[in-house]
Order: sequence, then C-alpha cells, then structure tokens
Amino acid sequence: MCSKAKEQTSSITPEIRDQLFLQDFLTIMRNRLNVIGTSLYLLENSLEAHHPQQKYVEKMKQELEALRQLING
Amino acid sequence: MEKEDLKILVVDDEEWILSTFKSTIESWGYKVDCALDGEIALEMCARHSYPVIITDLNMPNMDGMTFLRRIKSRLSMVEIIIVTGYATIKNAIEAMKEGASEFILKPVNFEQVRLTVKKSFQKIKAYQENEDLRTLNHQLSQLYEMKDKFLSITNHELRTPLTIINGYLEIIESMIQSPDEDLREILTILRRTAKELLSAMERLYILSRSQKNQWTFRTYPVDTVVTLQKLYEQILPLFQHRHIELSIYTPEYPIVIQTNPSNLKLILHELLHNALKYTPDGGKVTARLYTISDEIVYEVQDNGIGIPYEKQDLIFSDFYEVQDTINHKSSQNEFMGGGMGIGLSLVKEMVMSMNGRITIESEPGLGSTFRINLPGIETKSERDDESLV
Repeated sequence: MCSKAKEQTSSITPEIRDQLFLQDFLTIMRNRLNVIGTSLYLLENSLEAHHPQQKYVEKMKQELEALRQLING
Repeated sequence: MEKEDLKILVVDDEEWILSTFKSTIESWGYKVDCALDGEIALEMCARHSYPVIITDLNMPNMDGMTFLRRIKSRLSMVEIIIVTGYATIKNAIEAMKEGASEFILKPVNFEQVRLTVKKSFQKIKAYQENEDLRTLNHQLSQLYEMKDKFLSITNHELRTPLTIINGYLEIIESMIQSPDEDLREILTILRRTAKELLSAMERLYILSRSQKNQWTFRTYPVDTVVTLQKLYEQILPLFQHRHIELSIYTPEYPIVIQTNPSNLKLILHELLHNALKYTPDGGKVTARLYTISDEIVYEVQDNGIGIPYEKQDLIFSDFYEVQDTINHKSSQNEFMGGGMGIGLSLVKEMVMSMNGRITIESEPGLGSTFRINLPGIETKSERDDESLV
C-alpha cells in the first residue's frame, strides 16, 4: 500500500481507509505506467530508426498516453 | 454532550419559583437561564440555544401552551417540560400533543424534575448520535457509489489500451528473431508489467462485483485435489527460482465440491502466491488439503516475515499490503514483491461467497498460516491418508 495511506492505517477506521482507495489505486497505476513508459523509450532506442517495428512502438506510446490521460484526468 | 450544551431555560411568572429552580438545577451541574413569560422566553430562544426548556402554563402576555406551540414550530428538537399547578387531563393531553415531553405538577418534586431533565438530555444525545450515524451512512453510501463507478470505468476504459499494448508487443516479439540480452529484458519488463496491470484490473473488477453481490458464478463439481496438484506444477518454478521449499500434502482420493473452478483456483493460487511473496529466499512453504467432517480445509504455512499483530485485521482490506510500496521489488514473485494488495481481499470475498471462512495465525518474524474451511463436500474417500506431492 502507498506510504501515505500506510502511515494512517494503524489508527483509521475501515470506513476512512476506503477513502484512500482512489489515491492508492492511482498511485499504483501511475507507477506501473511509468515502468511501461520507460521500457517503451528504451525499446524505441534499441531498435533501428526506420525499423518496421518502430510504428508499433509508436502505436503503443499512443495507447500509453491515452491511459495516462485517463489516470491523470 | 459538552458541558456548554447542558443549558436549560426555565419560564415562570413568579420570580421566587424561578430562583428556586435556578439554584436547584444549577446544583446538578446544568446552566440555567430564566424568563418571566413566553414572549421573553421566545426572544431568548432566538439568541441562545436551549436543548431543554421547563415552562409554566399560566403566565401573562404569552401563556405556556402558546409558547410551547411557537417554540416547537421553530425548534422541533427542543425538549419541553411543562410544570403547572393547574393541571387538568385536557391540558396534559393538549401539551403532549403539541410536543411536550413531560408534564409535572406543582408543588414540584425536584427528584422528579432531576430525572426528567436527565432523561431529556439523554434523548437529545441519542437523537444527535442517530443523526451523526445517518450522515456518516449517507457519506459512506456516496463513497461506495463513487468507488463502484470508478471501478466500472477503469475496467472498461483501461483494459482496452492495455490489451492493445499487449497485442503490439506480441507482434514486435514475433518480428524480432534473436533479441540481444538488453532487448530481451526490455520486452520481458514490458510484457510483465502490462500483464500485471491487466490481471489487476480483472481481479479488481471481480472483487468489486463480489463485494456488491453482483457476480453470479456457475458452479460445477470440482476435484480440489487435482486442482491443487495442477497448480503446484504451474507455480513450483517460481518457488524453485527463489530456492523456497514448497511441499504440498493432499489426500490420495478426490475431494469434490460444487464450486466455480476459476474461483477455487484463484483461492488456492492467491494463498500460495502470498506465501511466496512474504517468504525470504531459501524459506519453506507448506500447503495442506484435508477434510474435517463435511468441510475441506486448505492450509498454507510459511516461515516468512509474518504479520504484525496490529495489522492482522487489515490484511483482507482492499489495497492493503504489509510492506511499504517503497520496498517493492519490481517483480510480484520476488521477496516483498510488488502487488496491488487485492489478492487477499479477493480470497476473502470468494471464500465468503462459498459460505466458507478464512483464519490466520501469524507470528511476526516467524511466519504465517492461512487456513480456509469450505463446506459442501460432494464426494470423498473413506481413507484419511495423505500423500506428499
């Protein structure tokens, strides 16, 4: 669980803990999406510039951006 | 109630009566204000808050009954105690109809007044607590609604891009014939993370639906022994990779229950995976499947980090993990590996949906034992032998 939520876990009620739900969920999602983003960057740089696979990397980046907008929006 | 809330207004046209009431009631620890008729009392009520009012009926300018009617129309929760020397049954009934709480006769028995005042404040306190609970309940309903809505949206909106990313990843992997080590690692991380997210979405959605009892699962006769043995074969490499000794004990005969096979597999898998995560490399995990009366017992014991006593009640909460996110390893299969903290919540929901129960015994630093009892065995052998897989 996220550190902010964890700090409060020992003293909070289950009801209040539920309020940390979205906060925790979004943090976890952002972390995972950052991992995907970094990996895509490395993948893009590992492949030759005009390699046919680059267009798939580009499409994956677009989908990642859509996900980021959903999470951050 | 706070001390300052224990304020009483006494209304009577005779000053010596007011004085007697004031000194007596104040000796019980309440604050008392006085008014000589209904009009003055109404003005005072507009400026101050009096949870309890004691009033005479026969007064000049505005009598007690008119005062009662007008104050109740403005402040319905005020407790009104009528004290009168001219009591008739008609008066008493009318006062009660208008909202008076008690009707006391003069000459006054102050013990009766004390008990009536005490009862009035208790009634107000109970009402306030009830209101607080009603407000909290409303807030919680809104929160749950928001949570459900969010989960529903995330399930639909987030899964699609993730599925597309997975699809393109598969295409890229199929196009690269012999990736070097760096490229292979990048692809592995990408695949694993996308898969984790998709799996988490799926589990989160199932959890949400289960908590709302909106999930109807088809059930079939399932052999729990075969399910666990197959799972053992699948999960063993993860334990071997971490040099953790995994032993599974099952009876040599089938134990069949009527259940949803995916749910059963999820329960068996999550507890083993939980043990894998919280057992250090070189540790030991033992799973046992046996029957007691008409129940199946599934037990997973590890010699891992254990669960702090104060947190044992929390581990079945959504998004709860014993360790801090900051300590997460990137892989879910590593010691203290990353996760979303929904595995055990999901297990609990599934077990409850099967009318079962789950218990934990854990010693911090020594390990944990999770035990699940599931009812509804359809067939089993008479033999009680166990076999080591």
